[in-house]
Amino acid sequence: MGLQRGEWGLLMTMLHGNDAERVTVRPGKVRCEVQRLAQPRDAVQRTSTERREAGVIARVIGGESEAFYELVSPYERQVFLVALSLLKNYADAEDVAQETILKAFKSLSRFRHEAKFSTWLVQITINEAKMRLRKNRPHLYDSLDPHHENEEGRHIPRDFADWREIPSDALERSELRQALTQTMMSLSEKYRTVMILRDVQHLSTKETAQILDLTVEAVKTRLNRARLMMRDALALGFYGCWSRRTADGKVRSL
Amino acid sequence: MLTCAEFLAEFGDYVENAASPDVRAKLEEHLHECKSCQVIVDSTRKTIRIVTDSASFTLAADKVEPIVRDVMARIRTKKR
Repeated sequence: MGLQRGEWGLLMTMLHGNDAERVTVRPGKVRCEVQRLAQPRDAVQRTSTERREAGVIARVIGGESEAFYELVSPYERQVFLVALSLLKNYADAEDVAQETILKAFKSLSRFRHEAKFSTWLVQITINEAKMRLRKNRPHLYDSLDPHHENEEGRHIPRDFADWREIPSDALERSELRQALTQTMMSLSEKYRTVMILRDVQHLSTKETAQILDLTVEAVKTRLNRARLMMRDALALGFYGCWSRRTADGKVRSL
Repeated sequence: MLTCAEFLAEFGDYVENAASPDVRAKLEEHLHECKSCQVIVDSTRKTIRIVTDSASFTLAADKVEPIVRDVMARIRTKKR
């Protein structure tokens, strides 16, 4: 089941809505590969949120299961949106979000305070979502990106004469938001995931690298390409149907 | 001076105003001479703003609220 036309706008609303609730959290990690990337932080460096969460985790591990609700609720939306950005449909995203949270509960005793709890949770989400993708469509998973890449895999930006004048009111239109989401979803998974984590979820390059088990340089490279591909798609839109539909014909700079 | 390909391989930090002074100087030397890359930098910055801008969006909490509640129900069921 794919998203219907009206749902793309909703997705963008949700993606952006998440930013307002984003919270800085506390250290943790699951996989051993992450340990070499994560910089261990001592208790003194933890934020108050991280310290509070460490206390809640201790309670859950000690048998107070109900405290788990308090621990994961702040990240419910983030988990759902990361799953949705990878899976592109609500039913699978909801399943994966539930599986992720359940897995986090079961694995909590293996959580180590060397990365943020939210980082650990997003990492589980991505692993679960990728497993679901492989299960759903193994032949399509991680297929080569059809966009403009040369033989070294480097993205070649389209050459537009000038992109400096974009109708601001176009940004208010649902077509643009839909196009933005569709373009995001059309990126291959490796670029989309990095862009969602960095530009939509506003995670740092280092956190993104930890979650995806990539080097910081690889995250930067993928983000670069994702942004250039997104730019190409948006620019085509502005030079095509969107700009012709401007209500009053005025063109303002962003 | 950098080629366009070299410029594009390194311009990520620059568009976020996070490049080190020496990298920035190197990139700006190219940028000063290259109209195409000026347009790419400008439009990429705008793209990032469009993607990250949340000003015109509102929350839609109802779509995701039941997830943790449902998981808690499953945890309670398994404990019984």
